Amino acid sequence: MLIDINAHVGHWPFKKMKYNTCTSLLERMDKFNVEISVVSNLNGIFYKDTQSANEELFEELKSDKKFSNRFIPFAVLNPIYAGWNNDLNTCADKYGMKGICLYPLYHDYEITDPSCIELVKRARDKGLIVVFTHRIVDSRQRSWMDISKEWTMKDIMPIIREVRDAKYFIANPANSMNMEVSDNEILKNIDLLIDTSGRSLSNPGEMIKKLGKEKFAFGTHSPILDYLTGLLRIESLRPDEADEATKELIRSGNAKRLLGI
Amino acid sequence: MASKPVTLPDRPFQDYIDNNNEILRAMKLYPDRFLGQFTINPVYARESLEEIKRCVGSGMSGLKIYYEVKINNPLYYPVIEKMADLKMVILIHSYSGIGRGGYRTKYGNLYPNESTPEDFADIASRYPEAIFQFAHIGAGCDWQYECKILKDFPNIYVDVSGSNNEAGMIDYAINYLGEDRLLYGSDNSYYQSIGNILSSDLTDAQRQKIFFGNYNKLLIKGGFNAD
Repeated sequence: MLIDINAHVGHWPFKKMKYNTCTSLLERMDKFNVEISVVSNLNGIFYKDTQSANEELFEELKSDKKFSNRFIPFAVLNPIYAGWNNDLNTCADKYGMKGICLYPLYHDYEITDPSCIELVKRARDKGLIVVFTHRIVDSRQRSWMDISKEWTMKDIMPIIREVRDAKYFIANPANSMNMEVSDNEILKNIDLLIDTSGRSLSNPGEMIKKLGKEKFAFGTHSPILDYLTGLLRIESLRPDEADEATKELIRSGNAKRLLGI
Repeated sequence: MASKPVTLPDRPFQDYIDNNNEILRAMKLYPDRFLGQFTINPVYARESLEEIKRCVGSGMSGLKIYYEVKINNPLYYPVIEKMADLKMVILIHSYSGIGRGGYRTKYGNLYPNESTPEDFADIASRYPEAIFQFAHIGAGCDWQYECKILKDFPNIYVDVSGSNNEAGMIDYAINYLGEDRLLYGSDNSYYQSIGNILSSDLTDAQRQKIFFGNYNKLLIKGGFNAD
């Protein structure tokens, strides 16, 4: 069974997208045997009021019964914009969203901004997963209107150190995963999953050895990245790197554990 | 196809010979698995032509170069003419990016000698009989920009390798360049280069062309055949 913990719908304003609606993403999932996708709305990166994007996703998911068991919606929130507290409640309690995606680089705030810390703590209290990404697109070929900065794991660690008992997804790990030894130990002891879509997993066997088999989960970063590279990283693990049980954890088991499904 | 270009600037020509010898050793060790490309530096004009002769005589089947000088620099003319005579592929590192390494140079590159798509278009027009391989449209460069520039130059082939496996890249490239001008390559990004081709909207026949058929046709022109 495959659960994709990093998929999006919505638009990327700098490029024509394909497979970026729930209907077309579901076709993609069926073609490649993906049972469930964690999905958020890319539009939330660009709307000042991110809640409009969450409403769009909620409405789209409501529009067809076949979506109900196949998608797990996550909200996009901005803790320095008005009303995030109410938006969080609406997304969790009314829309049934199981996590929140935060984009400090796009929304222009520090990851240790008091509002961000407060939001992460509130998400923790509600049992929601908090998602941070290294990048949405490769900045080397970005649009001239896009941001130029990308993150490494070190950039995300300050919030993890601050709120260690929250649950985290690290999406599209495209840059350095090197950390201080003490941060490595923190990571081993918290609820955190790194998805397999990012190019930093050029040697996934080594990464599993370093951080543990419970720390990784299948992800596509669709529709930005191609749909199969994240899966290839799992399926091509050699027997001495991962047995079948470990692969199954990465395909779906770890995601089920954190998502509580 | 294995190669070892010299990636540091201003190196002595002996470095090029040493790298070629390393590839020749690999070809000898695994003759069924490796074809070999040689590397040269056109700044060393006489030595480069001698090295091409030596490497071809030892069984190598193509040229790979980095950014010693731009591909349309006149220093390359004798090398390109020789490669055209041999009917072998000339692969050159290329780039077009707006913000590489944080530099905001409008469609300029970080390294002044990196060949741009416009440089390739220029040299491909001058030598329509030569076979050029524009390297790695998935290497973090603006692949849409590149495909649009390269569209009208049938002697420029494009490999789809690189670490940036953006969805839609292969389909976009085939739309602009056609199914006969795309080549599989990894650029050591093995998962991305295969995953992107497998998840594209191509037919199996088109995938077969990209993974094998198109490049083998080029090899056959130069007297080789990987089939």
